[in-house]
Amino acid sequence: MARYIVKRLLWMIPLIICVAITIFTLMYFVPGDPAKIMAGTDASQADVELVREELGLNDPYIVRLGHYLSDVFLHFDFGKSLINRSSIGDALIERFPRSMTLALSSLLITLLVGIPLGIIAAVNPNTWKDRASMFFSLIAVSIPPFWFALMLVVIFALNLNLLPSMWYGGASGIKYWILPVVANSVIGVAMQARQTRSSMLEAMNADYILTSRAKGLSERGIIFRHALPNASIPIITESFFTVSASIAGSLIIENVFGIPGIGVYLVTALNTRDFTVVQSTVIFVAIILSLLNLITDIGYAAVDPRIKAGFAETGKGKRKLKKERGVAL
Amino acid sequence: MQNGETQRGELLRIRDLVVEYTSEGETIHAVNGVSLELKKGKTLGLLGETGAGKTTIAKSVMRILPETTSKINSGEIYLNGKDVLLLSEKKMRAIRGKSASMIFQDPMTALDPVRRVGEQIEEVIRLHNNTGKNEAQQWAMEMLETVGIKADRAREYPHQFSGGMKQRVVIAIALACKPELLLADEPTTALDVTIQAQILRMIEKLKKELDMSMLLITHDLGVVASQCDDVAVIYAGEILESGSREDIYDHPTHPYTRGLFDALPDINKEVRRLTPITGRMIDPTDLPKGCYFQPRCAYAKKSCRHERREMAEISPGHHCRCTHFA
Amino acid sequence: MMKENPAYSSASPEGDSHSVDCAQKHEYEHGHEHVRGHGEKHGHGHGGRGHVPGSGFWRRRKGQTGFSIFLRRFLRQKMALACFIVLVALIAICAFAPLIAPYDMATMDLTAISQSPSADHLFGTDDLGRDIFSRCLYGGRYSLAIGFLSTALALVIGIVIGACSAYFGGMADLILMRVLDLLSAMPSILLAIAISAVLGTGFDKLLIALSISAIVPYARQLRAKMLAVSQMEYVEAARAINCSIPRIMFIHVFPNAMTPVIVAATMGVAQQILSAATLAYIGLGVRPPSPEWGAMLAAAKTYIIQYPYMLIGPGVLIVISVLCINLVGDGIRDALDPKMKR
Repeated sequence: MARYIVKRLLWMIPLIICVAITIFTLMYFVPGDPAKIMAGTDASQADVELVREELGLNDPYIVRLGHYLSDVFLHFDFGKSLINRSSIGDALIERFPRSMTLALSSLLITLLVGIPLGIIAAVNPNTWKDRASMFFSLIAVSIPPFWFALMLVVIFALNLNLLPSMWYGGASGIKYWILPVVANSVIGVAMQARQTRSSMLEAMNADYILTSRAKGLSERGIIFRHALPNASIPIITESFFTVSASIAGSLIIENVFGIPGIGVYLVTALNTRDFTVVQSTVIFVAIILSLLNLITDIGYAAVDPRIKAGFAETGKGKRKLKKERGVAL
Repeated sequence: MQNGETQRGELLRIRDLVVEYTSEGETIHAVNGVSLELKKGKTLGLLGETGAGKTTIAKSVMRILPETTSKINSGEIYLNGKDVLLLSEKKMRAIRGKSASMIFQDPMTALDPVRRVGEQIEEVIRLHNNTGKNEAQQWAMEMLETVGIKADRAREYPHQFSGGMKQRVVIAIALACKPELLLADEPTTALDVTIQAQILRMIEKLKKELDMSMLLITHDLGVVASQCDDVAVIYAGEILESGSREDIYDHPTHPYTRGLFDALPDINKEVRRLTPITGRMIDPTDLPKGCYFQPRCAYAKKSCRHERREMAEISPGHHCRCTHFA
Repeated sequence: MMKENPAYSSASPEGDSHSVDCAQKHEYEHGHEHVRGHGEKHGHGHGGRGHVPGSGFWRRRKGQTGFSIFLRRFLRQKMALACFIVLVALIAICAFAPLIAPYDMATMDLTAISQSPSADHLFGTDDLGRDIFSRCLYGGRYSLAIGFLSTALALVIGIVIGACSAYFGGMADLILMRVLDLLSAMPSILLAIAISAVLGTGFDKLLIALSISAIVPYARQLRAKMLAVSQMEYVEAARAINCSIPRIMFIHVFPNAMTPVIVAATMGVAQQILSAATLAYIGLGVRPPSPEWGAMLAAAKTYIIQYPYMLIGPGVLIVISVLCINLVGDGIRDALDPKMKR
């Protein structure tokens, strides 16, 4: 097991570096001169040249790439904002907890609500419980989350005055988080419920369920002792996508509620053409997601003895298995 | 009263069982009025091809048919004189795995892949006996030894076992509570020929040791010959011919049964080509009015298309639905 | 024909299920029987010289093309059918917006600024006095077109990558899969944001960004399915009768592997419409004054306190179209392959 984790970590590093290179290269082709943006609109040509020299913009692509990668991965220095020259790394560290709070609490709700909903639907197929939860799920995956958030604001904050509509500086307390978390978890709950239901149904149709029924095991026993443990394998595989969706979602939802997290940082940077910030933020998020992916992979291994056995040897069994599932997001 | 239905020495008696499935709005007539008896300590072979309804009969006895897509329309199934179709689900659970057990066709999928095999045997033991964890563990290991697996492999997972070994585990689960009735649904079909013989011999031995009765479902005439006391030939959810093994093997009477034997190579006869039964099984959603076998029958007369024939006793204990060769 | 050939029959009545019928096996794998013992029903038409039995869904029964079976099953699902009709109607209305819309999309009526929904203005008017309903109809052209086009583009690229990967294997497979790993290292919406940031705003640029961000699942799914299908017995049978490899690939493997990809793509359209709206909302992709639904919502957000009704029209249209596409997708999935039913 430990060997597998190390192996996965080692595989993660080149992947993240490749992501960083790709993003850097993409941003390299962004039209517009970063030096001009940094120097400001009314700066003289000489000032711009000075900034250009300072940023190393005169160096060839490969040298700049090398500098950037060594800064990020060896010194954990994500560079400076083009707009106000503040350290991007500091800003990310300051904002990261807020984004994570939103992402993790919606993840928690997603799992706590979505999985039971899926199980209830699967063990009562074609009853009103099943239909109701699937109908809810279908509606929920069809609503743009940001619009849903806006509607929540209109209803609960503006009309009913129950909850605050915006995040204020220094504001704390649960009530500021309720609407954002709800808005961000609805789509995840729905996806999780659908996934859980289909995994459970598949497990319930397996032959070993018949064996346990023939043993005289009760329906409850069958569900909890056999169906659920088996269904949890695809559920866990899918949960990485739940994690990644709730992080991506929180980046957007933050903007609706003005929560000063990474999402707001990114969108502000996009609109002010602050491309060093865009670049570093995207890479930062990719790193976080890779780490989370690693955690799901380990959870995946913990559940399925076949995969655990596969790890002991090569660790290839799991990759193959996971790929074959062909995941759609 | 209920015992009136079951004669002495009889463990299982099925009367006029009718089972249907529904799929995509169509009704599939899987079992159409099957009656059979199994005497204590005996083995009854249920012989027929895929789709004949054999497995459905066994699942009906256990009452483990899929709830949503299947329906037992009529009939009675007496186990030890009690009609299991009338029992509550709770009472039925006490019977499953205890007085009646079932072995499934495909051992590769019959075991839960995420539980240790020992655990899976313990589960059935603890369900039906008031034993503690350690005792059940001990018992499960004994069961493994009984089916020829080293006890220390109880801690392994199914994927670490070969197909034959898995089937042994499935048998251990089925026999753990010493059932009176064993329903063996093609227990060796999915296995290699060499393993088949081992497994069959083991089932036979354990059956004697535990004094069980067995309903052996198979499509293999060889298995029937080596294992069964009585045989029922089933086709399209209907028994065509039944009798003792000798009746069926020495005097096959129904054209279908004869067709099965004709398709079998005989070591004593010089035959250049075997004679297969032509055609395919009839569509179970659309049963003909007359004899179900008639469309494939070389001896069919005009009347076979319209008239249904009841089982007739052609010699003591030997029943057949067709009197063409009687 | 197979069934008359004595070599295929064997001693036991069930023998043929072992030796002959790859077709049947495949029916089980892929087919529509949940119920055991029903399996004999299909596949009468399979067999014959040179033709490999049962290359799956698209050629299932004699005289019945896969498509007619699909159509029959699809038509039986009332919900999906109803949604399909709504969707087609919506597309038609948006396509003929200039004929249908009561007002021009850009004409400002300064006498009717920020009006609540009324009989004259179904969804009300915006801050410049433009009729929101009319703008929504025009906007649907952007939103729906972007959904379908970007999915189609992603599908084509995904199919090429997935098929090449599965077909060539080896080094090509390795490289293509690493590229996909790279693309999937971040959520697709973030990828779309990054690409949009580089490309800038506008319909064509949004199209490219969304297409690239959606390639991964199609390519992976197709590759995995093609590898799985090529392990199936009917493909082995095709190999055994010396079918050429491209023929096996195009006649047997590819059409069968496409089934789940088609289903995923249907749902993908819905996802893309949502993504397009999200991008527009944060100021990427199509921007105001283009009446794209997401862009209209972004513009309306400013007036959320005074005129919240401005958010209703475009939002509801997004929900309706996405919901319909999802339900149609469900219907297509169930009709193509009831076993995939969730």
